Amino acid sequence: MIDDRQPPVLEARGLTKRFGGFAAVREVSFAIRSRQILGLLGPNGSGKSTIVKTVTGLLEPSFGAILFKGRPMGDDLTEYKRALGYVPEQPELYGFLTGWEYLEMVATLRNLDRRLFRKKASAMLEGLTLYQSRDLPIGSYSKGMRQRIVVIAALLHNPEILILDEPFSGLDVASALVLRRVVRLLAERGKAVLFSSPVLEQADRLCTHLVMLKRGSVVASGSINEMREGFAGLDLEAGLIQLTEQLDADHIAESIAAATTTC
Amino acid sequence: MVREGHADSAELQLGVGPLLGILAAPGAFQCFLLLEKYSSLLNWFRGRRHEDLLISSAPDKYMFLSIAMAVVGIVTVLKWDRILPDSQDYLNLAPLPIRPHNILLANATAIGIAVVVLATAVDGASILLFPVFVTDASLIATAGPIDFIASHALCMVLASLFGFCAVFAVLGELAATLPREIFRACSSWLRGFLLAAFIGLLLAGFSGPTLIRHLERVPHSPVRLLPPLWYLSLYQSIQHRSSPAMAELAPMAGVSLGVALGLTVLSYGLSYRRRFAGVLEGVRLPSGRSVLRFALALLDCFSYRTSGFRRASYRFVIRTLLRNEAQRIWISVSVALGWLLALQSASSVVSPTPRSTDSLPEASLLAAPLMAAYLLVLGLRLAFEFPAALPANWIFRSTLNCHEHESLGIARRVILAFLTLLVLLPHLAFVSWLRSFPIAALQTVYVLALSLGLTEVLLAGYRKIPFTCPAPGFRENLPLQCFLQLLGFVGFARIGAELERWMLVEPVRLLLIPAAMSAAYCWNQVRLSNARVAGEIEEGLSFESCRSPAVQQLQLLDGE
Repeated sequence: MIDDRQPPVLEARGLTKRFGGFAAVREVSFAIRSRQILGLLGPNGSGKSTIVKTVTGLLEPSFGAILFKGRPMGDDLTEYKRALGYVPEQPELYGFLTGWEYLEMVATLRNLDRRLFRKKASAMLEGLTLYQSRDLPIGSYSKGMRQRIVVIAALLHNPEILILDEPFSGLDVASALVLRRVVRLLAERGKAVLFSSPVLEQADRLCTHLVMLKRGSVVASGSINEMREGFAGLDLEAGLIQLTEQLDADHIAESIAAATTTC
Repeated sequence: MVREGHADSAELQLGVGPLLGILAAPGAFQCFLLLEKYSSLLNWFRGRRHEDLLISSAPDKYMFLSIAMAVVGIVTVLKWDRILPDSQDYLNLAPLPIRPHNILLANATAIGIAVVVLATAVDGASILLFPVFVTDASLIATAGPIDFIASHALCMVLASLFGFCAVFAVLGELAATLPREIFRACSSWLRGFLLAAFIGLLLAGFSGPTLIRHLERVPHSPVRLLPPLWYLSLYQSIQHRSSPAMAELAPMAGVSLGVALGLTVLSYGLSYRRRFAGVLEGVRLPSGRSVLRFALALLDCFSYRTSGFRRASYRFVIRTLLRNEAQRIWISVSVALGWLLALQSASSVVSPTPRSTDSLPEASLLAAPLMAAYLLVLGLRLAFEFPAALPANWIFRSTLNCHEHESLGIARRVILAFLTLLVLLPHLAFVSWLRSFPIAALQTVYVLALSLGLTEVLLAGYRKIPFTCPAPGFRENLPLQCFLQLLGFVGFARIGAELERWMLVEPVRLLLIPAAMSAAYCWNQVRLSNARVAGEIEEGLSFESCRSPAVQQLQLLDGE
């Protein structure tokens, strides 16, 4: 059971990120508690990845604060980073390392015991069907294989907070299914999960709470049930499109098809 | 020279104009250096009125031929991966309705045009200027400027073409015959050694007079294997000024070019099929793992034992140096060039009857390991600055607290590991064979001490995890940096060798080394401590590349 009264593990307060004069994220606030899976949902360019990069410490916020267990994350950055497992949007990896070497490097960076690493990595590689390819250079991996390596690297150290930026991109159906169940099980076991995706279907299947974004600002937030109730008769997809896109999909599709078939 | 922003490689990114300018620079620079030599007025004063400049200009022709061959060869080696179409071209072109032989022809034409442009850029200045200087300076009847320009242009272009074809033939034949993964594994090492060979050829251009004299005296010496001498012989033959020894070598120019050209065409056809049309076939196997496993195991012996940032970073750095293309080429050039110079220095004094322990070793012999050490340490230090898969550094940035870690010790340990395996142990073995183990141990400790000092100087203020930061811009200071490193090299090798010789006269003087090192260490600790108190130094890791220039302008007028 998710208890909304318990203190958040991770909280963003008035988060704003500017790139020059352009505000990619404006006054975004949310909180994630243990056992929650919070989905950041929005179309491309809505600021999801910027929020994720700011929360992971890869970008400095222009204004606002990130709190870890009620304290600014900079107060004990080491502890915060130790508690963090991060899957980035693009699985950028060192192509000249093998999958095993990469995982070993991450585990060593995180001070993981070598025997424990071998046990964990072997099990995870088996589970995500990468064990046979573990000694091949990552440069030869497909996007889905890279994505799975990144997921394993994020889980190796048993993180308290899991931040997943479009983690299903490039995964095959079976791996996506396994990952979805893993994330759900980890949340049930007390992890706090921040999940970013432009695909409503994935968020709907996985998340307990949602934050909907449009052009860097929050347009709706709450638990999945609250969101459904808030759309007053509309399903989630229709509600999301109404909030974020406001486009006439039929009209646009008609004009593209007409342009394609013009001789 | 490295333009920032190209994230994934340390490749030089220049516009066409500056690139052609840089390629033309060595030849043009050499022409202007010769102005004084070919001044007719000065020659009149010097009494060289009856000198046949077509003969006495042979060393300069040799220099120009070396430049033509080496510069074209170096560019071909550096751009090897771009010469043939790659998988990206295949993915873009294969779905289009273009026949494969059209793609082949288009690519071959592009290569031809590129070679012509390259040869024109490299040779253009000397083709126009050098013959004019010589014919103007000549006070006796020689060939006319047009004849001279034609013969000079012909030989220079042939030499450039040979430089290109030789590289293409070697790499192309290997690419065509070796299994794809084996070629991939050894290609960058091979390219590094080729680069070192071309740099050696370029440097040997200054030895033209000696080489020509040696060839005249001993026509069948190994010197005759130097390709620029073949083209010089052809040059002199065309101008009817070749000696008998040279006349013998002249046909080699045509034969070598014919063979290289033939092999180039053959390997192009075969490589095209393997690299382009077959680019998506087969599974990539671990690139060179079996070849490099032994080297990795040796270098890992120097790794930190306990798990954590330092162990992970050390192993990452070693693997990057051995496996990433740019770093591999850079390191192989440093090692090959270092050993080339070291062997050259040592070979002049090594006695054919070793094991004489009664006399002091020559300074040239003592300088040999110092030369190899200097170039290796400098090469590694520079290699650390080149990024490898830069976008992948997020793993370090998202995992580490930058204020908590230091990377200086890691960089130092990596340098020490390479130094031990590539310089200190071979030096120990060689001197043990030449003299005795105790002397070898003493000399090796001396080389180690000086190398550690050099490492500390080069790593002062180092705060990065190697390869994880954008390449620093050093274009504005490049000439000065090169000059400083040249001075450093000469000082380190020559003065270091003389100092060692002085210490070996009275071995007790060697105790000065630990004393000096301890004093330097204490001084540095005090300096750092004071700077820390004053808040003048930044500590912790950095993922930025803000390098202070070697020369800073004081901007004294800005305040007005």
